[in-house]
Amino acid sequence: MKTLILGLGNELFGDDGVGIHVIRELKKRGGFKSNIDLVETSVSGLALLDIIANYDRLVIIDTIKRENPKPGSIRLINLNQIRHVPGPSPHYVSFPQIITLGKKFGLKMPKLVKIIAVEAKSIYHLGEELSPEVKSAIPEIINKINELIEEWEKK
Amino acid sequence: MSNNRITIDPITRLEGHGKIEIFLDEKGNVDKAFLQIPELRGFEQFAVGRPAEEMPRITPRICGVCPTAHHMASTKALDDLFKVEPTPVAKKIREFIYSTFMLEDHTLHFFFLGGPDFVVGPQAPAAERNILGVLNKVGLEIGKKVIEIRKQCRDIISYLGGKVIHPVCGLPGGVSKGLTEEDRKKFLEVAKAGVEFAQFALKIFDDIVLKNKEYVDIVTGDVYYHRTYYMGLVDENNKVNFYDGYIRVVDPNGKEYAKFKCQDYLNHIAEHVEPWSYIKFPYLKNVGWKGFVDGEDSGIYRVAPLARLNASDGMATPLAQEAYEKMYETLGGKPAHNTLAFHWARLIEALYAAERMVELLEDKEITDPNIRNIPTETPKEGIGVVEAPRGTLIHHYKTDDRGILTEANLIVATVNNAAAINMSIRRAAEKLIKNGNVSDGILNMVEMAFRAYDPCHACATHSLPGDMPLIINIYDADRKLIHQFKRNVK
Repeated sequence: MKTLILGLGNELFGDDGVGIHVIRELKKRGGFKSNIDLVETSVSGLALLDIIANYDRLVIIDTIKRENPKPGSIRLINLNQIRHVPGPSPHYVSFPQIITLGKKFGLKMPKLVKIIAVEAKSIYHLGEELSPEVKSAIPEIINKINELIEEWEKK
Repeated sequence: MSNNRITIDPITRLEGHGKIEIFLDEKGNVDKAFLQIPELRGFEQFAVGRPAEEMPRITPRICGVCPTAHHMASTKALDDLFKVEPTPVAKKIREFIYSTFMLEDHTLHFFFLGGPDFVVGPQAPAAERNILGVLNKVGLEIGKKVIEIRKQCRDIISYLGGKVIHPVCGLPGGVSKGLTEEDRKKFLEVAKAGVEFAQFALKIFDDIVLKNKEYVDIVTGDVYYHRTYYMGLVDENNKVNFYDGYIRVVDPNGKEYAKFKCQDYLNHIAEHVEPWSYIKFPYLKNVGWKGFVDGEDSGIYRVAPLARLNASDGMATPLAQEAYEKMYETLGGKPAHNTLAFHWARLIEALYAAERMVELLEDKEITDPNIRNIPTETPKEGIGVVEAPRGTLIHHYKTDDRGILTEANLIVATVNNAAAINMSIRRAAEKLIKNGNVSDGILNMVEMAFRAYDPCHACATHSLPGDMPLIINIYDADRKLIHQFKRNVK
């Protein structure tokens, strides 16, 4: 069983980089089994297909923006909670669509997918720093990842 | 008046997302329409104080869609900054990488991103207007082929340039890695497959769009039509070139209006400010800003595939030239002002990109090991240009004599098109929305006006995929909400 822990985001856009920061922190701590890969990426849309193919399980760390924001708050989301959105942006292929496409193309797609969504404060302004709210959420994010991995490894 | 208001507003930030606002008059017809694009903020402060040679690594990371375009424009700005001419083979390798990127981006756009409107149909339910809908119609095998070509192209870019998203191949005066004879042969296979695939894509366009009278009427009709100036890079024979050359501008009648080196861009391009937008709208300085209007007297110009074809005298490769001629014959001559023909022009450019890859690889000089000239001059100011998939892209840096940035400015493709995109949305809205009658299909056809440009902004967003509702509010004359379209909202 191969597991991928995938940090999505762009570290040049403030809080948008939280997924990247988390992966780096995990790499620093180390101690993961050899069937678990840690990957950070700034790509989105279809390019993710190449990255997630051939894994059984997938944890994604990414940001969300919501109305009435609570920056730094974390939600654990299942794949079926994300909509199959036909994007108004031509650059957009939604994550559930990527999984569906991968399956259609006969690629091995992860069966277990969990998304750790971190609410961002600022993602519009170029800068490499996380906001204090999001930065202080990193230990909790790492706990969540460890819990998930532990639960999965028991199965 | 103008209190009836329709808003198309994806809430989260997205590559290319914009908020479309349409104001209706009392009769329910369109009074005004605007596209607001969130601007990338803080770039100047971010860049100043950094060594200029970091820019080819940093700027691609700003944008997840066209990293290679930023990398090349930035590298060329460094050539200019350090006053160093790349070696002949370095130029060829760069152009080869760049053509590979254009082939990948253009084919992907057609099938996955722009295709849904035509292949599935503009009035099809929103839930089907996506890549899965496209695959249902054209068949899975074609989808697999697109994915395969895309992957092969990206593998080439990664091999020569490090990661696609973090390319590191361009250095002032050259490139970091050359091609071996083995590479050349291997890449040539990919390039040849690319030519075949681009021809195939054009055939699909032919079968699905050109053989359907309804679609041809949409493409050639007056909803998506603007007589503007056009801008694009051309080579010494005025043929389209993505990597280098002169910036050429033709007027709405197709006559050459200006031709200049990118270093002169400030003598030709000025920026207009509007109170309702963060974006500054570039226009032709010597024609002048006359508002959001078309015609010879208005300095508004367009960039990107159709604009490049309009601004040139043809394609430098034979198959693409044939396709070019066919397009203008069908559209009734050159320049073509039909916005939706951007999709067609994009496929012709994909074919050119693939043919150009073959040409560059068949030239054995591409394996020459002399891949870099070392810069020795003191830096001061550098400007570089490429044709990004979405149009002319200019990087402009100023530094102190240690090469530390003191000023940086980017004119990105979509900004060049910003004024035209606004006009296109307004015109489509005016033609399609009558007496307050707004359906999902009509709004999609309004969105098609801006999708044709493949707009892309405040790049590289990665906020959670899927969480992207589109809400359209319609207000009556008293600003009371009378309809709410919730598209893609649970």
